[in-house]
Amino acid sequence: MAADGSRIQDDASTCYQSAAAVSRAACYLVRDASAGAGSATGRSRAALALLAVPGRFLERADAAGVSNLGGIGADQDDAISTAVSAVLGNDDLLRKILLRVGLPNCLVRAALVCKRWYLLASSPALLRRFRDLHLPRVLGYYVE
Amino acid sequence: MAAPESGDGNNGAARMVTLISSDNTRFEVEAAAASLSQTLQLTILDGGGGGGDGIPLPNVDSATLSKVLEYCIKHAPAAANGGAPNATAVDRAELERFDNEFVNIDQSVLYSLIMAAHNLEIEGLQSLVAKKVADMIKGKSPMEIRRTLGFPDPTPEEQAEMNAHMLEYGWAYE
Repeated sequence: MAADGSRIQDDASTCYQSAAAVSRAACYLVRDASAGAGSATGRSRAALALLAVPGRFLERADAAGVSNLGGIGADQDDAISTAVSAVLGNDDLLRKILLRVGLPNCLVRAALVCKRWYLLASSPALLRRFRDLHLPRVLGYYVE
Repeated sequence: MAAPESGDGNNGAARMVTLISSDNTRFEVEAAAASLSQTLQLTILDGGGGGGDGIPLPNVDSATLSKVLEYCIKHAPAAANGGAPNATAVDRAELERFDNEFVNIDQSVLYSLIMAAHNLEIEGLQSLVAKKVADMIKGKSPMEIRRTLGFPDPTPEEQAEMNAHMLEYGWAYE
């Protein structure tokens, strides 16, 4: 656990070199790791705080979330909306989709869509797999 | 594009199985192709699907099933080779080109495909279609994602809250 934690912390410090905006996304990705290591740094705490806000906000947005997809463009085919809600309403399938958005900041944006997406996108298991699939890399630098 | 027939000689020359879609259309395919589906593989190993009885697939309609089988037939030879050793760069490029064209389809078909790939447990197809939807999400703001996927518009109250949130964390909404 300790060794694993420190490896993840290394990943984290790589991520911290990224530009201000994107580094938030990077912190987001190491969130579960730092929490697991029991030594969340100030910055990942900040990321946690950042994420707490959309979480609360989205609790309400969720009422209009995927389960109510019936409203998909009234002009569109009923069959499509059924298919869409069947797919996006399935946690497994949504996870597979979220896993493949590629960039951490895209994952964060997807997490802001609604509460259910946020919960799935921020689950430790998904973030771990996301890291495995898309290796951490430097997204940018601060120039001071 | 090497003809697969020659390779299957040892194990009952290209055994065929019959699949029956939800609207009772029968599809006859090579067992090797159908076996890309983990679900079907078990049935086929047990000797199902041969002869007159087919394997009924009540969750998949014929349009979707024919699309799924198109994928399976194309990918079966590569899968039989264990994915890589004999595959040349040309073969891989060809498969990639096929995959790209394959998912260039209507949204309704795409979603039925996702469902079918999930039910039939076809690993490669699942990744392929999930990637396609992920690409639709990629680079979009949360609002754009909602619109693309047909979520209902947020209520004015939610919108106001979103705006306030945006002031602070605008980057994620850009």
